[in-house]
Amino acid sequence: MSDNPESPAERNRAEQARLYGAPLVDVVNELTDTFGISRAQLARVLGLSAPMISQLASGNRLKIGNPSAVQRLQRMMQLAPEVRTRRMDAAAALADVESEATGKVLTRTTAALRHDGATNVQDVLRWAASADELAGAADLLATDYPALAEVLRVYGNGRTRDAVEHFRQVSGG
Amino acid sequence: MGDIVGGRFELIDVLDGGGSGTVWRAWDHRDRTYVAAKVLRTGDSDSLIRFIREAKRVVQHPHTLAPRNWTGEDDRVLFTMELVRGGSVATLLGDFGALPEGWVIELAGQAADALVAVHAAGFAHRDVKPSNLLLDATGRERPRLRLGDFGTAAAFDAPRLTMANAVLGTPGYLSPEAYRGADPAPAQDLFALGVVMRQMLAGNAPPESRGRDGLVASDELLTLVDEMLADDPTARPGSAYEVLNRLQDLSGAGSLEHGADPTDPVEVFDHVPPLPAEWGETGPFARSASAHPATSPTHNDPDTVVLNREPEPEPTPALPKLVQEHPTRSRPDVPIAAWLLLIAGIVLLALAIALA
Repeated sequence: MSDNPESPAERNRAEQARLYGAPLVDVVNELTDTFGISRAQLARVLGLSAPMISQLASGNRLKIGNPSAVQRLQRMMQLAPEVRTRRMDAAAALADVESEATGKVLTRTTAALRHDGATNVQDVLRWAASADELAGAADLLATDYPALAEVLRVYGNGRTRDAVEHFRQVSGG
Repeated sequence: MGDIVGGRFELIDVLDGGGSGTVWRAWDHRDRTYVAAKVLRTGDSDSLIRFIREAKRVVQHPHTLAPRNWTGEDDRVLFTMELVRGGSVATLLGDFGALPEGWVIELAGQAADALVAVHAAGFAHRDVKPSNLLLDATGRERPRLRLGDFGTAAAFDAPRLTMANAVLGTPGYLSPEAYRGADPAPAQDLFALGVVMRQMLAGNAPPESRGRDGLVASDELLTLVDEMLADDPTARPGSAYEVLNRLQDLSGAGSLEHGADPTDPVEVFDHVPPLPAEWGETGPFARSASAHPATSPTHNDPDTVVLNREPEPEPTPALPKLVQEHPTRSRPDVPIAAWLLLIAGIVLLALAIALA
């Protein structure tokens, strides 16, 4: 039925050729072939779901709605000749495409931000010296060891909120 | 034949390896149905168990997806829930980018409806985000959203001690006061829902984005989102119920077509992969009757939300290797010992310089 030139799927494929340069079934097959990946992997790189890729390839759906997926698809199509002629490694090309993947933030996993680290540092410093002593030590260090002085100030007698923020930046959390 | 957990649930394949735990498709040998099953370490499961116990109305709400059963085994707990097939709002945003205003109002309204029930039960969800707003596979029909993952839900009256020093949630969706370690409160969930609503209107913007630039929606909806995103919790709408009412009063409410592109309709696909070869719609294909566990004794009462705390009388097989591997994959823990050493060094250095 899908071979019937009057079918909606066939019309969609013709329209896809106008929008994307070729029917998406051809684009998808060429990209999975060139980059040596499955359709599911291609979907992940583009930020689309696997069912969406099959719907587009079958012509049941016409357009890629998500503009950033379109961008990544265009980037892959740009890089495909480089990969085919071995001027570029497939893995490196995929990394290039994914580095532009803004959609990643949507799937970022739940993280536990812990105050433990910052408050432990505070506890140790405040066990060793009073707030005045820590401020004095920070002053002594400030000229020659500014980063150390900052640590003494932030954890020694700064606010917990600032200590937590400092700790987050330092630990990359 | 796969391993059977709690004398009842046979794990089949992994549906989702991300987030806060591996989610399996499992066959429930007692109720003869497919379910989703999630494995947590005992320590991570306490708050979820309290939630299931105390918030039964929430568990049965049409717009939530909370575990109906749990079964403990060794140091792990298996939670089972309805198998929801349509992916999540995160999947939907990946497939379609920005959603039409009618869809945003509908989905946000269903999420707010779920939050009304959660808050009325005395809990804050604390992890409202696109990937926790699951969807039934409704195709192009009216969607059905299910607020899921109650693993970080906290009772408003929970002892402060258990939460000291830990901020739970997802960066970008945490309200300013939650980030500072405030006690759980409804306003924090409303802030997170506001972030999600802005993302549904913006498509792929990071959750930290603010402002109305590039958002296609009515002024009233954008005003509501702005209010939900207020830094001051008292400046946000007073309750999930108020959010729900204001959404229902919008001119685009009840019409999914509102703001939609008719040539590119939004569609919630079935995202669950086909069953493996040896499984059919009515369960496992013929195998030896002696291995069938449906007759094993159980303490569960089929008419209530089942809380199967007691150990099964028969020894049950260990969970498959894959299940055991996931929970032991340690979170990137803060290297406290290393910090203590570093600080000791700094203090000594400071003293040495001060004395010199």
